[in-house]
Amino acid sequence: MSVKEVTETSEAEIAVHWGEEEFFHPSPQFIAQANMTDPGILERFGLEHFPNCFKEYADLLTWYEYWHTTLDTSDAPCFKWFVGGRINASYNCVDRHLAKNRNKTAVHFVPEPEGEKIEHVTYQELHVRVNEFAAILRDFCGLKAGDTVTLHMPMVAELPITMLACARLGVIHSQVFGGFSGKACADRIIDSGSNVLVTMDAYYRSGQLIDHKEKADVAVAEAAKEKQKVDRVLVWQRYPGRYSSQTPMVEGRDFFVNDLLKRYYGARIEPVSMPAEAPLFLMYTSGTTGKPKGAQHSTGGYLAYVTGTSKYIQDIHPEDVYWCLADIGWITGHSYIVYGPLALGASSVVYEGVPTHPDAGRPWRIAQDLGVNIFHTAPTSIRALRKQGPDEPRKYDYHFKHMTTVGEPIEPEVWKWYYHTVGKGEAAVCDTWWQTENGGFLCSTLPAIQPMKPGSAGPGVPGIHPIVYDDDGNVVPPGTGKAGNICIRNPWPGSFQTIWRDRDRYVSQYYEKYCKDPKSKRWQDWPYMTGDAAVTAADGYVRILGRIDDVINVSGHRLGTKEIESAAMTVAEVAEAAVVPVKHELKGKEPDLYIALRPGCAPSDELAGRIRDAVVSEIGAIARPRKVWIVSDMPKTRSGKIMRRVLSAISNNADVGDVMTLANPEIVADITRMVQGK
Amino acid sequence: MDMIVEHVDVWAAPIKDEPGGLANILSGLKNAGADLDFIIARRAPEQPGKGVVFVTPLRGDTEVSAAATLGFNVTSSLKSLRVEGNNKPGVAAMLTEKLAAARINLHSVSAAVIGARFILYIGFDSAADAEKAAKLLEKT
Repeated sequence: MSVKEVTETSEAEIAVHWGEEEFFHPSPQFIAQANMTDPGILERFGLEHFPNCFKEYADLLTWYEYWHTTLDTSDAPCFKWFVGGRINASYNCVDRHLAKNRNKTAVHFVPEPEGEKIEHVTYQELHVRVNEFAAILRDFCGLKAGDTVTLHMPMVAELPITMLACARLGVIHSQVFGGFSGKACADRIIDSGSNVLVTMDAYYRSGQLIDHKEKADVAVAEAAKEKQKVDRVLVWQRYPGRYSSQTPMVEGRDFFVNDLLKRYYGARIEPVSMPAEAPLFLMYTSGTTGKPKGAQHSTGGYLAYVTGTSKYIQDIHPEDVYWCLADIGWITGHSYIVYGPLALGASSVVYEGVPTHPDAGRPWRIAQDLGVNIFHTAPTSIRALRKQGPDEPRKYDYHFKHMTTVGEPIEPEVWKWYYHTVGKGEAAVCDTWWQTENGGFLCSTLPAIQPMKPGSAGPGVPGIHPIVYDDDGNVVPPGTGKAGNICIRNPWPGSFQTIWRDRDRYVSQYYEKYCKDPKSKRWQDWPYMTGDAAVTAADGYVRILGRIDDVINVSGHRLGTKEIESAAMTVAEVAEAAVVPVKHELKGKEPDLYIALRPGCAPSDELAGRIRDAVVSEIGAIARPRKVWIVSDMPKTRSGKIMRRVLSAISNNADVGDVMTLANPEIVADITRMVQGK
Repeated sequence: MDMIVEHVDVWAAPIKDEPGGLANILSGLKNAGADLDFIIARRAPEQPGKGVVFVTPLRGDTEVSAAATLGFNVTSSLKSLRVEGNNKPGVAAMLTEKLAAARINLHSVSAAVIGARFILYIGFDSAADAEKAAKLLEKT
């Protein structure tokens, strides 16, 4: 295949992404009330003003002591922000609002059953409940600053209360998404080294009261197998005073929080003055494979970043009613349900259940009832709501001034439904892109300053300077239509500090690839690799294409491995297909295609040709495999997952590593002989 | 007998008993990138107009987060094992006899043969039963 043939295939054909769209502009009404209307912010946060520009965010907080060093790079790439500063996150999210807004709602808890009353937790009540629970953590559990505690809680008001109680003491919380199993919770207890688990007896999901406490029992038992003892399990009750789980309490280990609270009535715990760089929480993230890693987020830098982006990107004012439909078990919920909005003194909605329960009108009834004016959700929810109730929003009297999407790229047609139907054409939409590790938004428009473009995440937010590199470290310029690995040139305060107890993995996974000098103490030598592929338009707006691991870069074109495999599977004889990248001098990479056949089918050159043709026909000439290898079986894990890493090593004449844990290690030698002739 | 026995998290979500009820949910998972090995959906006789779908696996935060939004939760009532091995006549009977002999009651069983291999999903009433069954089957 010629190089010309390669470059003639369009990006759109290969990456299955959409073209550039027209701009949408925010309304004059939105601009008139927006927190940030000064385009000078982009200049103020330019690299020439880095890192001191982030003082503007840090100044939104109340500090016990100001910092002496804005950015300490002496342990690069473990960057420390606002060093010397002392702060408490709980104080900033609760106490400091009492003087003016004691009786303002901090958290609206909306139970899933519509018949149950919405609970409005004022800042005063939040203060009382956070203090009393902090007393339990400190005086009953013996926790102190620097200890870790695992939370496995659903979406209830008690979750932010628990988090803020931990933060008050400087205890590092690690909230595990409530939907995860007890085993997944145990993995995180073990890694974080927690001796205390905070959970809830039950919660509602799609109309059912689900027994949650039983997961705690599994988690504690599994953790014990790895010698991680959990001494205390604190159980919140979905209905205070009533136990809603079938799982027995374990004497001496399990305690109802509501019983303990009686002992600590009226307790007030002075917030602990914490160093700015002290960890605030761990947020475990797992890719499609591998051990979950605990992203360690700081107190001062993180809180400054989420407060600043909440104010300027989400345009949160203290008088706003803000609803983020994410789960607090994910980073979005930590940053943009709890810490960011509460630091700004807003009212934040916590909804217990499924957005489409009992019908697709539910979110809009909640918005109407509470007067929600800022809405934040993921494309998955938007698609589901659009599919199940495309006209529902029109039936309800609510008005959003601002809406956010997060989590994945949103298709332009879905974006337009969100804008026209959900937002009623009135709301500014921010399509944000960021990751668990980042603490807060990386790319988005500034809603009153930069126009919206459906399908694009926008440029880097103030202080974030994205750059796209190819695999060899060359810059892929904006406007070329070429995709590459999107990195951030500079550190920022919200970024995670390290992977909990695994600095080497932190460096190797996020910084090693494009580091110019591993011994360097200069931040300029440590671009952060996000792991996502992206293309930047001439106007600087970024389109995210997906994870690097899922694409092969052939002459600057991103080939989705799953798309090639799916194309091969259209041939009737093919049972399994696996694509791996092979180095090529001119094209960078090209795909090798491994095929296992259905029983009774015989390999042949004719069949290999048909498979190759199917890939070209389905995707394009650019995707033509270098070689189709028909093998007797794929190397697999014991759970049946194809080990593409092994196939890639064989295709690239590299070391296949330890294969003895495979279900069929003998196949590796057979495939190696076939491919390498040895 | 060479078998792969592993614990799996089965996720369940309610669906509407109407045309497209299942497709809506599955397309949501597809958009989130889920690559499912196992799907069972059925009517829920105790809840007219509703059904339930069970799926596995969900890998990674993005898939789990999207699934939760669609109403999925790890099933608390099902402690499940996935068993895979070479197919032969009577293998399902042989495995279930082994579990019966150990006085393990089964919550649910689903099995299929693809080519020369069988895949069996077994649901148990408790984690202890699942653990006991896994040990027994691994020795088979």
